[in-house]
Amino acid sequence: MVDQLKKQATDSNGITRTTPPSGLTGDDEKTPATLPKLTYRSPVRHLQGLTTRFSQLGLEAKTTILAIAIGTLPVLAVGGLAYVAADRTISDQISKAELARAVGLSDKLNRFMDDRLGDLQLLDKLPAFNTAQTAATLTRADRDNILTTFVQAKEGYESAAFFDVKGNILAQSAGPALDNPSDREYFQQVLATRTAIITQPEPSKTTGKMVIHIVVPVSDAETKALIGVMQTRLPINKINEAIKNFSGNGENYHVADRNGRLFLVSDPDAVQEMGTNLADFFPDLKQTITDRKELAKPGKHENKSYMLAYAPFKSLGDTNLGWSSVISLDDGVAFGAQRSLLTTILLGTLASMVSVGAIAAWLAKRGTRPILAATQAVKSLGEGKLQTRMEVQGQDELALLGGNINQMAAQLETLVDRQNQSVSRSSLISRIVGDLRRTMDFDEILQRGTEEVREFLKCDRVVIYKFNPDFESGFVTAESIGDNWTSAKGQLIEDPLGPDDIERYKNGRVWTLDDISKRQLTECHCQILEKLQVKANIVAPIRRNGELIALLCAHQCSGPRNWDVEEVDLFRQLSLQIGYALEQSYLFEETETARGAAEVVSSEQRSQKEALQMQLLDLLSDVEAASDGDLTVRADVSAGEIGIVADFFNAIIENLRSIVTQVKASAAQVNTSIGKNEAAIGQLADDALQQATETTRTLDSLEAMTQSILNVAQNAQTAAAVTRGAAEQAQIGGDAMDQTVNNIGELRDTIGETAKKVKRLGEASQEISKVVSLINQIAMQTNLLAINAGIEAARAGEDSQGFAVVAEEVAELATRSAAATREIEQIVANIQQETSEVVNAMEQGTTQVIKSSQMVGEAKQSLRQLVDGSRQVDELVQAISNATVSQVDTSAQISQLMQAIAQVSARTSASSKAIATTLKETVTVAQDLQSSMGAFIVEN
Amino acid sequence: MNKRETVRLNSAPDQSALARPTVRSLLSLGTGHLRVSLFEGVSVLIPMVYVQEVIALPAHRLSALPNLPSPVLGLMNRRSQVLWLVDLAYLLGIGRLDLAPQTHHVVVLKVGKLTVAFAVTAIEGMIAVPPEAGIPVPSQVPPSALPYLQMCARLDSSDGVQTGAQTGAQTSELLMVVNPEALFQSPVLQPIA
Repeated sequence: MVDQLKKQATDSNGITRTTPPSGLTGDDEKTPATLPKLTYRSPVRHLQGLTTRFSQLGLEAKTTILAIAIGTLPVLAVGGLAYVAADRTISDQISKAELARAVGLSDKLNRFMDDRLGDLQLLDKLPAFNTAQTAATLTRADRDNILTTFVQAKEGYESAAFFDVKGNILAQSAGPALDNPSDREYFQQVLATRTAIITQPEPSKTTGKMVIHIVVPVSDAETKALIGVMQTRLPINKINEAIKNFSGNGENYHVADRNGRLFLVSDPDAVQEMGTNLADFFPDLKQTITDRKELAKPGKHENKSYMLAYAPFKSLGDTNLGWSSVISLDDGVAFGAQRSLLTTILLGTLASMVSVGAIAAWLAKRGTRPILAATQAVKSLGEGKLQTRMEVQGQDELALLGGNINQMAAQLETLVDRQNQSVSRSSLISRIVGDLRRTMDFDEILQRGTEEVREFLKCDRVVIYKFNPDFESGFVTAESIGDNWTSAKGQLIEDPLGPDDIERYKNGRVWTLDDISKRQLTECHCQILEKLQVKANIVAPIRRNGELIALLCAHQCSGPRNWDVEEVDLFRQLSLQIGYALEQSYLFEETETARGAAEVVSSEQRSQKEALQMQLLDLLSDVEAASDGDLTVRADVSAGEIGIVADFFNAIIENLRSIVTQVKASAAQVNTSIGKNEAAIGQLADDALQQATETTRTLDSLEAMTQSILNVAQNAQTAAAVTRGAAEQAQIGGDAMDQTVNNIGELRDTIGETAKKVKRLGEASQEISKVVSLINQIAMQTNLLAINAGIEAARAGEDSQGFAVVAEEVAELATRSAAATREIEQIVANIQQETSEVVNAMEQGTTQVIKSSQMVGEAKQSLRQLVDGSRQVDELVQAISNATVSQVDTSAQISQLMQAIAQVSARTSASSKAIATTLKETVTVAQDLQSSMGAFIVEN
Repeated sequence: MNKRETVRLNSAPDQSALARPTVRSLLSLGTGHLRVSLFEGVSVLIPMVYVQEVIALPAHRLSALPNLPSPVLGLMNRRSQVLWLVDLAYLLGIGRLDLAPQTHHVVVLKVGKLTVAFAVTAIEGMIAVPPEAGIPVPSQVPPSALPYLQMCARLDSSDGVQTGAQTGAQTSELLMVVNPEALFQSPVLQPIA
């Protein structure tokens, strides 16, 4: 157990130190309960903070925490699961029980109402009401008695009544007389539908209390005719009594009608809520009420928690009330048992957590103690107490760790000793080097070097063997020797070296010999060593400028010696240092030699310089007069460098002389020329001034021109505006023309129509004339018949005078009708004539209309041309305007150019004046030049 | 009457036949005459005594026959009695009947036992000619007609004539009266009589 804990501790320790936070969640299988929880429940930053803090804790604390976590978390998880499971099961049971209650309430009420309806349907089948003969045998009092008995026998009724179809009371149970219900909606509905109705709860008209009416139609038993309506009234408080056992002990019921209004509540405090909407009363159940589904769920009402169960009323037979009920159970009552159970689980979980945690903490502490001891030991080692050692017990890993720590401490001690030694050696080397560098003398260096080496190595002899150039032999040039040993100084030793050896020494290799008797050596070399009583030997090359010149040899004569690596190394370094010292002294000697040679050369140079100075003085005295302007002097040309100088000098003087002559002539010429130029320059200045004035005048003209151009541009703009206005007017005119053309077209159509009608009129009049001719013929026939009748009458004599009169009248009438038809013919003829005139006029009109529409078209064309023209004019004017703008720009540029010209000419004038002044100055200078030239003597 | 006012007429308003007052004069065989028009503007009177009847005869009921004297137009059927139809104007020698019209106006005359139909342009009506109106035949009458005329009658046209076509109400009119007996004696009718 302890081992496990230890391992665990080291594991988790290692992980927390080496892995990032993600490592905590991933690969540590031993702490699955804690670590995922950390990452799960906390944001990343919080987690990082936690891990940082955790890694800063001591090992013991960490182990303890982890052990407690491993011990307690499963207990906590089991407790939590048990809690959740129990909670869910109990809640389910409670909600189911509540739902069952609500459904029971709905059922009971539904059944209650259905019973009442059944009662009434029984009652109306009584012969006293539905059979006329039986009813006739009964008095009103009898029927009232039947109803009174019914109301008293059955619970829940307030009254029962029987009305005829007009709503007049035919019978009524004992109690106050009822009103005529014929104006009530349910009454009319019953009459209309002939079905039983249970009304929604409503306040009674007479008492004001909430009541429910059950109304059934009463039909005659034989004729099936509707003879009346039976009605019972149930007050709500009676219904309340029927279901009162659904309330109490924190439980309340609420029943709502078809429209969702509350009408039945058991809670006396909620009576004033009567009539409010059920969904508003329980907002948590809003969706459920809309869906009309049975459901139980926890909810709130007036800030108190309840268990709510909703059950809509199902339709039962004919009865479909559409009501719904809600039972609310106070949370305290509903979940009391659940809470006590949960408290028990919580307490049990806490107790087991505490006990398991305590055990885990004790185990962790015991497990980490050896590790802490190891840590303490390592810490004191780290502080430099290298003598610290751990107690090692047993064979386990901790014991192994302790042993390793002890071993490490011992190794550290050894290493520190070696370090000290090498430090003292380095200081020795530096001291030796300092000694060596103190002198420049070759032999002294060698001597000192041998002494230093022997002192350091504590050997019996140290020699420097200097090679002869052929490396076949050499001398011992320096030696340091202990007491009682043979000196080898000054000896010629013939010990030829092979080319391999030379090469090896040149590369700086050191040759060691621990014991002469144990090594096979060349005989010659062996003899030399034996002669010098050498038992152990170490040899290093001494090089100067990379050339092998000597060997440094240290001999142990007292006995064999095991040469240390460090000693060899040091020896090599000393040989190198001696080499460097020798090199230095050699360089020093060479420098001294070079300085002596340089001194000899400088004394020769000095005598040469003196001779040159003498010659130079001679030359200077010869040419002295030249400095006074006498260019006729000449120097003596002698042999040597100065002679060449004199020759050059003479040539220079000659050249100078010719130059001065030319300058004199030029100065005279300049004077003359300037005198001539002066007048011309004056003229030039005047001209420039005049030019400036003229330019200024031109500028003014240009200004005026620009102004006029601007005027032109303005006028052009105005013209453009006018033209544009004209174009717009023309456009409007064109539109009006279009309108006119349309109107003319309409007019033409109208005329066409009219012409058609007139033609039809003509046709009609022709018809008339046909009819008229027919009439005329008939009239004529009639006339003839009348005449015949008259003839007959006349022939018959006096007796038929009356007939004659009738015949006369008929003839007269026929004549008149003939005349009338003639008149009609005349009229028709007139109509036809006028019609044809009208037709002609219309044809003429049509022609004119066509002509006028053509003319309008032409006018429109002209207007379009006018618009085009004005547009062109507009464009032209625009172009003019643009042109004037560019003209203005151009004239502005010209103006600028003119101003520039004016400035230039002003400047020219000034320059001319300046030139004149300068010319005068030049004259002065030329005259000065002339007079100074006079100082030169150019001819003897 | 409104209609008449809206229609423009060339004649005077009071000339309308419809407006004319009816003259009820009793005719007797002695004074009654039939007034017929021979052609436009020329009317003659025929004594009523000889007139049997007047007929409007459709042209297709006239059967023309060849080789007849010029005034005879043809044969016609009148109540199962075949009659000669004679052009009266031609016979009188004062014109010819227009042969184009579809209907012939026919006057059937009977003298003795002989019945002959005469075609005229129009039958205008009956008028009474009092004996005092009779005057001798004036000389300007065409001589060809003279043998067949009985006399002439001067009539006040305003009250005597029942035609609307005549104007000049105040002027008196001179009308020729035909003698049917003379007509029947005409040589033209002799072959057929």
